[in-house]
Amino acid sequence: MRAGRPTGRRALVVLGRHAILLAGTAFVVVPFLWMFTTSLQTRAETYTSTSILPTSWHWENYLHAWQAAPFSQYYVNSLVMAAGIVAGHLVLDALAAYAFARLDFPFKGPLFIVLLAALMVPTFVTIIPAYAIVADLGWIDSYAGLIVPRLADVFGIILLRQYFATIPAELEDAARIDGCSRIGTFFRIVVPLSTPAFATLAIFSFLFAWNDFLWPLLVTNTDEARTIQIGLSAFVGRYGTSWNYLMAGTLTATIPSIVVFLFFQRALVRGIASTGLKD
Amino acid sequence: MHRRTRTITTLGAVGLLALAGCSTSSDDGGGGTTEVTVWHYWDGTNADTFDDMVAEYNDAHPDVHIATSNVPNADFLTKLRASATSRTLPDIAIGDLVWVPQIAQIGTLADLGPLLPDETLDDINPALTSYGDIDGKQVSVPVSANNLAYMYNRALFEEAGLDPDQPPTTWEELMETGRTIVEKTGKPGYDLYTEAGDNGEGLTWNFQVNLWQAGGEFLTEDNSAAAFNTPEGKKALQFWVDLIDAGISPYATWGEFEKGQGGSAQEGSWMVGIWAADPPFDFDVAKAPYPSDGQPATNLGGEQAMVFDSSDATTKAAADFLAWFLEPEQVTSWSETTGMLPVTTSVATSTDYVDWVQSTEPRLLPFVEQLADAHARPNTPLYPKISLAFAQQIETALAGQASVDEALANAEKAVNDVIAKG
Amino acid sequence: MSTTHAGARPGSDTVPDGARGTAPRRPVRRYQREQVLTAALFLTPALLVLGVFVLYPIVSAAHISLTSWNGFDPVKPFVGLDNYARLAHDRQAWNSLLVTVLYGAGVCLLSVVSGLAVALLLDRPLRGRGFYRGVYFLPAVTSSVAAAIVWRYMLDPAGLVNAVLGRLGLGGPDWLQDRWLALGALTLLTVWKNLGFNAVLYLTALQALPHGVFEAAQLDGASYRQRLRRITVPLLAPMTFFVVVQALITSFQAFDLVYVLTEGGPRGGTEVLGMLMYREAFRLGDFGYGTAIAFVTLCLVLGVTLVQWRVTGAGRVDR
Repeated sequence: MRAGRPTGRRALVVLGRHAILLAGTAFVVVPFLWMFTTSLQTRAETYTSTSILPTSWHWENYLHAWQAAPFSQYYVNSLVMAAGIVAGHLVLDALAAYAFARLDFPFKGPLFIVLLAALMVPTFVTIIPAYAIVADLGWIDSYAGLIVPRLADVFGIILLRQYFATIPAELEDAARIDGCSRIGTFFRIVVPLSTPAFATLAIFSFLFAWNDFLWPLLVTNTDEARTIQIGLSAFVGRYGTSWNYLMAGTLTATIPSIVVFLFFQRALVRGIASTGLKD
Repeated sequence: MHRRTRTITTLGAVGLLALAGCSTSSDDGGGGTTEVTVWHYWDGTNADTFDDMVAEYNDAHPDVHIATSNVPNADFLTKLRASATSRTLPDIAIGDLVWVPQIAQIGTLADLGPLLPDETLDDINPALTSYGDIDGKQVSVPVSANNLAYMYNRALFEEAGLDPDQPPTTWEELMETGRTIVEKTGKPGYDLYTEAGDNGEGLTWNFQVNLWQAGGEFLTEDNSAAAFNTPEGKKALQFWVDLIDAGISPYATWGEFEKGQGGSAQEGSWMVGIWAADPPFDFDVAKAPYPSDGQPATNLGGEQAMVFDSSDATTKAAADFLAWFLEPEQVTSWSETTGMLPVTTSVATSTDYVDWVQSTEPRLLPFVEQLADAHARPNTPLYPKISLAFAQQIETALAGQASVDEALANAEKAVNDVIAKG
Repeated sequence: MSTTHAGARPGSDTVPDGARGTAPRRPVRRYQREQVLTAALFLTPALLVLGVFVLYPIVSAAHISLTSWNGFDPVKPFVGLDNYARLAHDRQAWNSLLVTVLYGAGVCLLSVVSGLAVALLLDRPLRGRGFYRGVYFLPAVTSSVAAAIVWRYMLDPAGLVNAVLGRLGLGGPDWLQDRWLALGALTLLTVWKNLGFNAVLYLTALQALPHGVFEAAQLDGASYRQRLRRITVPLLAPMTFFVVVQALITSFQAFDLVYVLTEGGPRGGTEVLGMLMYREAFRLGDFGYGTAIAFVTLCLVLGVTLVQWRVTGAGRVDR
């Protein structure tokens, strides 16, 4: 590893990478900018304005959007639901993924294909039968209805399985020769080495749970149980959308997603720091 | 770490089960009161106004408790569907007019005919009452109404040298006005909804206005066949094609008027309420222009209330609430607060209401006056499919890919196919 | 569901040859029973949840696809394979299939390329790397509606894209009124929206790569490009498989983005299967038909995935 700043040709390469990344940044950020601009306009301006950069600064929109519905309660519900789902995914998916990655058992192949197939079924197909089950269990307007049906998911199982598959089998074999059980190698070897994958799954699961709209809409009828996305959809009326409030509310609702991402993404690249470059 | 993980998992599972018991719904009212749940898709001030009126009713009727719940309109039918399959339906559903025939297929809508006072039913706009009359049952009553009229940009009119106090009243004048605007300002003179998109209704319901104005019909009286492939239908479609060919209404450019970049458009009465407080530009309203050899007409929209059959007590309580809601006093205050059009003729034609409109929001007046000439769409459960099939074929003529005759013939075939498949 | 493995009695280490055929068996039998029991323990929680709330509803939905259910009626009239037969003759469905296949192919290819490129760029130490990671993830947390609206504004004949092109002296067409340009725009929008996801997935996979191999190759004089092609990309096969599967699922189920960007236009030019099935089931009251389309979609995606699984050997676990 070289000490000090890169020079000469290396500097050019680094500069090139910065240039590409910066150009991409502009490309990536524009819609966010539009959301921000729109959130600061009056309703009338949202009809006629075409600029991407803010021209008026009605910060009170954020307050009004927040007051338009019991968003504090919605926030709490969304947070509890997301936390439950993320925890569920991390635990249940990891266990199942390990079974598929390392263990041999009857019907393993067909079961995996069934799960793959389940992943590919469009959500709307399952949503009404699933709703019927939840209604029968009496879980309408409860955290159980929001969380339990999504406590495990196929996406996470396959993601983790693929990651576990890339961990060298020798590490586990060594542990087993030392007398460790299968369960032991899972918790002592595989899990600690899979922090990046768990971080990734945590981010994806959180985003999924936080942005989910249709399922929470179906299983809740009252404000006490509803989530943020349902609250935001109220700004999209039949006779026109309150774009300024919708964007203000949406941006406010995006903050936890960004926080979660920033928190977990540090774990994504921890490995690189401790194991050196692949340069 | 093994044991710790297990403990955490167990605690988590126990916690979740505990939460499972935390149901927050309250669907058993206190002893003696009848609970009535109402689902609607109103938002903002409309929802607040409705809630206020419900609170007023609850206070005056201690033996009944009406509870309201907002369901986003885009997923209203989905939620009703899911609830129907597991028998968790509300007692009253207030939804878009065009949904009623489909919802009636659930088969459990109460017949409001015997449950509402005759004076109330007779007072409602006849086009709306007959819409809710399906298979001899009055399955729905309107609670709000809107229709389409000619909205225009006064500033652009002036810029084009036109008198903003003399909007067009006939198709011929509309074309002239449009042409002038294009020539003098370079902006479209009149927005047409030319794309079928995902559900076609935007195009269909705007087109129906012109179809009826020309003297045509959309479907036969009993909704058994297409009825628009007639000289009247051709006249209406030709009107649209002429506007596009003349550059007054370029294809696939709906929305210019609302941005303030177009001279005029056929818009709904709700726009007045939305824009009145803070108009994006100086707009005005006139009745929808009709051909000089045709008749005035417009298309009715709005919300209808349906009552799902449950216990006799609940059904009666629900119907009583609706009867109260349709009394002149409530209709007046509801319409005046929300800007929706009154569904009962007595209110729509009363001097008090009309004077109120004149003094508070005169731009609503053309919409109110048009109520007398308003038509409602066919009340068939196949309507969404019919509308889409119709719009997709008509669009080909508007895009210049088919002649007017071809498009109408294809549309007739497509619609009849839909009806035949049933 | 029992096999001869599970049939072995506790304490016995052997099973009669005749009952198991002549396949070579693993040397130590004790591990196999441990594996099966561990597997059962590990799989049960997830399978319980998925079985009740996902798998059973899918079976239920399969039944619905054999009916002409409208989504409301308590009665679901059985029509056998009528829906599927109707699908085979439905011109709109074939158009949707074409659109979706092209869309899916584009999204898969570009997702892999862009995700990997961004991940590689962000994998090495670079000043501001954290900032870039956050920024590139923004589209993933941006609402689909907002993203699609902005793209629609930018692609408007009077919008940003044509303005920039005009500045460069080039003319710009009406992007969303030409079916192929609109499809291209939709593809780019989808890839852009999922860029953060794909980059994160690849970043994750890059962490697990064994560094010894790279160091050895570097010592042997392999250039960056050679190392990329010969070592990195093949080792990333499992994750590439996953990225492609996700891209396939996204494109075959896409609805929000398409609806807001083009509403399926111009005149059905970008009407993907996701829009068609959603519309049939929820708007036109043909739930049985919509579900049938969903199952056909499922078979297509599953078929492609299984082929991919075999061909790329992405399922291989040990090296």
